[in-house]
Amino acid sequence: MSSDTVVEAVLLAATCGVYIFAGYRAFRIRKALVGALYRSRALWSIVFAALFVPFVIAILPFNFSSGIPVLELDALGAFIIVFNFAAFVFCDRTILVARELDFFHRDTLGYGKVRWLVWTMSAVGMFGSLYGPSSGWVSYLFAILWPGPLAYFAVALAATSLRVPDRAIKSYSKWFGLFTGVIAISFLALTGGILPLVAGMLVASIFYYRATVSLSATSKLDLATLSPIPAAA
Amino acid sequence: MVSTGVPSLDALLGDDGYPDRSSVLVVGPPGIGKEVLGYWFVRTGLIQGDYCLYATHRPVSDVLRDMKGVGIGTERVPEWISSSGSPVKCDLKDATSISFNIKEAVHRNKERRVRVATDLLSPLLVLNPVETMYSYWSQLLSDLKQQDSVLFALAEDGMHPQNTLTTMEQLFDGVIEMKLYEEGLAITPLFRVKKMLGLPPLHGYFRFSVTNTGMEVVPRVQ
Repeated sequence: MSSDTVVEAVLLAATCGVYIFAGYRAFRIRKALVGALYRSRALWSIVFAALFVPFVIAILPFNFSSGIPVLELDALGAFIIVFNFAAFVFCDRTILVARELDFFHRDTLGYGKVRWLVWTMSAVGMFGSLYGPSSGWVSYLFAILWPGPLAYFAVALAATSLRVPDRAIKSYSKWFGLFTGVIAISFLALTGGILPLVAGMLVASIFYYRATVSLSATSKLDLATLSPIPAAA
Repeated sequence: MVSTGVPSLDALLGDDGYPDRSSVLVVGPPGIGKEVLGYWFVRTGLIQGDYCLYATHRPVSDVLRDMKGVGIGTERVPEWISSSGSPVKCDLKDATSISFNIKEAVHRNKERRVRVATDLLSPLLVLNPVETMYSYWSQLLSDLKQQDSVLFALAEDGMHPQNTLTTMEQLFDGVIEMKLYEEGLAITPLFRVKKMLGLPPLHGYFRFSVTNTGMEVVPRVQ
């Protein structure tokens, strides 16, 4: 096994660990919260973390120099489609939730209008990349169409975070936007080899964790020093 | 006295609930369940035949969905002032009309006991200078107290500077504070009654949980 492969495997293991921990934190947060919007975000964090771990494990060994495919190609393709679909629903719902919490319910970057275009681009890019030609300009087009919408989501989430006054969703949108942006860049950087992708995945997982924990605005209470304020006159 | 709609909270407040002709502010972080206290407050009022008004910056459909989500039936609903789905619209850019509409609705029902629940304090505080809002809320609360009414308002913790919240708290007869307390990896929702008209200071935090059958206050932490 080459040293690159060892580094990739270590990064991969760390990435999975972060996702598992983020999923666990999301589970605890969901138990503590009452608001439906926040609970649904936490539930999505659990589901997505649960999907991400097998995704990371399944997709990357193909590209290792000593790679042993863990899934048959058809099964892997189906899995990537499911994962991609989940990722897009997650981003989509996050933007819609943030819009709901904005006092003026503003449509960030015209998302309401371009929503279906983004979905179509992603679907075409995904199916084209998986089942289309593997060389030529068409393959490059598909390769850009797939992560392209993710980059759009990243920008939309960042813009959303500037508008939403709710501190939990503001922070959540910011970190989730960074997560999505790094994932998009990681896929685009695939031409540079597998290591940038794996490193990008690890960075993204940290942003994902930050997004998850930002759902609960916890306090470090000094229970002994707090006292009631004076009654109104 | 006016029941909070949560028997264990009524018990904590001396078995009766919120004082008559009072205003109560609930402060807490997003998602902790401040609104649920408001839903139970309104729900109980509707059952008891009180006139209930819910003034919100959200669409009626969103609030009803939330109510159903915590097990509160929506066969009886309050009168609404909301961003959409109600005859009387809530325009956050026009604080004067919001105040006018609330007072007008309350005045129309002066023969009954009135319950007003609102989540408009934080949005209006974000969009207007604190000095203006202090006068605004002071005037509104004062007007509502001329009648047999109780106002229940929510404020978002972390959306405003702490001194702004402290200033606003002074306008209210009762302040309930909700917090998410992190200890290790566990997150515990807590609340405390910072002050309540007619009650001695209640020290310490209480755990609480929300289920589909109501809200339960459990033994105090300290």
